[in-house]
Amino acid sequence: MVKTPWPKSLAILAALSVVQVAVFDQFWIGGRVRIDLLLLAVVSIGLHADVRQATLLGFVVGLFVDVFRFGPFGMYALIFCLAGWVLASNGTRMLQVGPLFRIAQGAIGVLLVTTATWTAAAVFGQRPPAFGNDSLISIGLTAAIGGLLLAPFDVVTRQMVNTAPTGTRVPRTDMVRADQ
Amino acid sequence: MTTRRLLALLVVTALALMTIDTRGSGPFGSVRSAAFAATSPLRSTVAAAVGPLSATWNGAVHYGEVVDENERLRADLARLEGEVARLPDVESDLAALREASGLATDNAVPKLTAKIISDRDTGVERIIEINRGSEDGLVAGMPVVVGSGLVGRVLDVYGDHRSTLRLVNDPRFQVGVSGVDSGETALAGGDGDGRPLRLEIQAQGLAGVDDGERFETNAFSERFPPDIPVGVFRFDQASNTATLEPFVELDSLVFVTVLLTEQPE
Repeated sequence: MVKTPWPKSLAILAALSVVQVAVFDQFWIGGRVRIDLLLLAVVSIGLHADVRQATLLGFVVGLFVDVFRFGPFGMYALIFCLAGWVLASNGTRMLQVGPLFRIAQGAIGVLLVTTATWTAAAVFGQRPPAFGNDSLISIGLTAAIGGLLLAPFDVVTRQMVNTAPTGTRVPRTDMVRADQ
Repeated sequence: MTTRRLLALLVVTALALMTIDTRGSGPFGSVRSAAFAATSPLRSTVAAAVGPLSATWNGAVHYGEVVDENERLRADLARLEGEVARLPDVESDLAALREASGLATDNAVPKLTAKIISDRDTGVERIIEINRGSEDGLVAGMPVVVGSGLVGRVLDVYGDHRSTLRLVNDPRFQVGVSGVDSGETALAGGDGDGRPLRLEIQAQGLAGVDDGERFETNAFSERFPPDIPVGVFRFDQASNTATLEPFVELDSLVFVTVLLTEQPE
């Protein structure tokens, strides 16, 4: 069973949260998109961690987002928990495409999580961007930027997830059998 | 615990947190406040350091939008300045409209408010046009008033929505008047622009009229309803002439009211 280094992980997530709120929340790309470090974290975790680890870490990352965002507390914990589970469940197949497609993998992951976030915001009475050309451009930009930044972000994620370097995974056949 | 059970547990936990927060109970508000308070010094420091960079970045990225918005704001400003410049005119129109509408006349007489659209002095006569005509029910001869008194009458209806007026100070204008206090009757007529109305009154009647007495239209006129204020009696001893100073400021008319009375053939 893969163990998560919780103290280090929590410290990293806390630091990412603070950096996000203090720095990256002030910069808008194209007037529409912000770099979201915690979003990148959950996508990266989903692509590198095993399912159990990604699910749990996704939940914790979501809690950090809930602390610093407005909306029902727990909404991001729910979204990122599910995102971690979905990405980790399918990430092996994605990574098998090859490291050259890392940007596309990151973009797809960011796209899925952003769409899920907007959907949840609408469902739970928050106000996501109105659907239209602007929102499509925003989500496209978010996905593209997320894909580009994901590879360097893996360096951070690797401290939280026990993986081997350059996108290969720790074999988890025993976990697969346990899930079945 | 299997992964699916873990997922289910986390989902339920997240939903429970959301339910608690939505109901207003729970410590989440305090947690958020504490988190923002704890990070506030760092955020302020970073914001101060990063602020100029952020402003430069956003300015560079949004330069085109800033230029467009600047132009739009300049256009809005010019338009608003124009509207502000027109405000005194609007207020003046409003006051004139109120004046035209506040009539001391019989409320049973149908009325129509009209706007003066041109006021020309040809050297021979002064021609005043209003924006009402045959379509509005106007007929030549109808009295024209404002709140303070008699203005004149409709001279000529020459279009669906065009008519000309003859003012009380026009030399060709005449109206029967009576003193409100003395009851003396007289014939008032125009004597030209800027001059009071001349008053034709019998000599013995003149003795009973005091300077400053108010004169109004009387019931002997076929064209004009009675009791419309016309002017104030003045008597010039030197020239031995009686005049009426019109109540209405005939040089500052904007809106007038036409009394839609029946006119003799």
